[in-house]
Amino acid sequence: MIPCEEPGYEYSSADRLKHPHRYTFSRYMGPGFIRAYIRLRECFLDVLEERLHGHSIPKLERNEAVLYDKGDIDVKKTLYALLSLLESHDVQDSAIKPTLDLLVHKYEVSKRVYLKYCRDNKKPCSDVYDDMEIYGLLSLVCLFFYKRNRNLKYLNCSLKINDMLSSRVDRLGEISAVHLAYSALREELSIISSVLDDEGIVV
Amino acid sequence: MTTLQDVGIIVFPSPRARAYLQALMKAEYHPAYAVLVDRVYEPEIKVSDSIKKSFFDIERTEKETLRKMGVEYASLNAKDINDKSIYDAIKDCPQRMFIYTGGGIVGNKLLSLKKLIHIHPGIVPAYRGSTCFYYSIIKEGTIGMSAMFLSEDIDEGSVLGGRIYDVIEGVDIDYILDPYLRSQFLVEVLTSYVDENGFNPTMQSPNGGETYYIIHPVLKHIAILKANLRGCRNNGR
Repeated sequence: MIPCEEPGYEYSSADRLKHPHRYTFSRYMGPGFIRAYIRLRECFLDVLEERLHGHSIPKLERNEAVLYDKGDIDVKKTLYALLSLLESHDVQDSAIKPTLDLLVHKYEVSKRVYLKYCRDNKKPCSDVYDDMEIYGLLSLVCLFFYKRNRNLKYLNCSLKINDMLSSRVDRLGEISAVHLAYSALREELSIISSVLDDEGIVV
Repeated sequence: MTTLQDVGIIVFPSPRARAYLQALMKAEYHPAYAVLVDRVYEPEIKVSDSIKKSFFDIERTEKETLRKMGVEYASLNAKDINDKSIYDAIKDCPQRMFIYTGGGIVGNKLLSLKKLIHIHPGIVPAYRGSTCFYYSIIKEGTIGMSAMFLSEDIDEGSVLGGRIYDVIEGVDIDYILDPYLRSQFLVEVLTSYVDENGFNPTMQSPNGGETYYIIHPVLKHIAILKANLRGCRNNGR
């Protein structure tokens, strides 16, 4: 059972990995919708914070060399490498965008990201798509990339991933996945607050 | 009234198809031939008479408008744009171009048979993909339209023109404003086709392209709230 509910926000109300939302022709509900979204995300953040209590922040594994591998694409290693690149100010967007775009496309189209993809045809070469660490990582990478260039495509993808992470808040698994989900939700909420402020939108 | 001898239309019942046909009728541009997919579209929203008058009547069926225009049409069953019945219905037509009103991603077989004219709600290559107008409202405060011939790669076809429109406040974007602006730009593009005796397509720039995906409801709300705010400011409220 999902521990947080808001009648005005349906996008995290079922297991969105098993039952993904397609987001087509979503209805406009007025400013109350944004308020419901914020309340719900804050509730999920509280749940995650509770789970993180007493745990130390896991050390992230980072190896940028994986981006230049010729073999199959190991998504987790790739995302950690992208995260590492994003922390460096002298790295151009072009070093990140093609790889990130591939993963964003995979998530947006199928609402799944597999552990591995074949280098040549970019098809999954693993059956595993429920590693929640990958989704938290992809969401965070999207948000950090958005903060660099304000390209809404990445904020959009992160919002969808975070809906799914919220819908599985009690099934995230390892503490590293919980930590990543928490960081992604917190970052997203802070970005959305800034966007609302920048646009002069009061909800 | 001008009959566009080289242009037909494939009509998949939808707000877009209704807006296109009503705009064509108003501009007195009649496609020489129409293929009408025999299915009923029931509008998801109710609109006022003033919206119907200012934009288009979402309740008026495609068949009704085609009959009023006196356009010859073939009615057929098709599950999507690549259905064999559509291919068969247009393969022997003399028209080289057909206006696309939806029906899914067009396959190569149909693309190699006829040129399909598509109005995409974003200025390409910067705004490719789905629901781009919401992204451009947030980023630019405007909605762009591009006319193009459809190609195998989505939204990468040769461009027939582009136009940027201000957002109109208080109108449903999905069901009214988007199809309406597409229909207005379709008429503009066809006017230039008539005036210049043909299209002058140009290839898209290979640089600076971005493909967007269906907008998340939170961003959609931000776009609409921003549009409403701009409308209030413009009206001095």
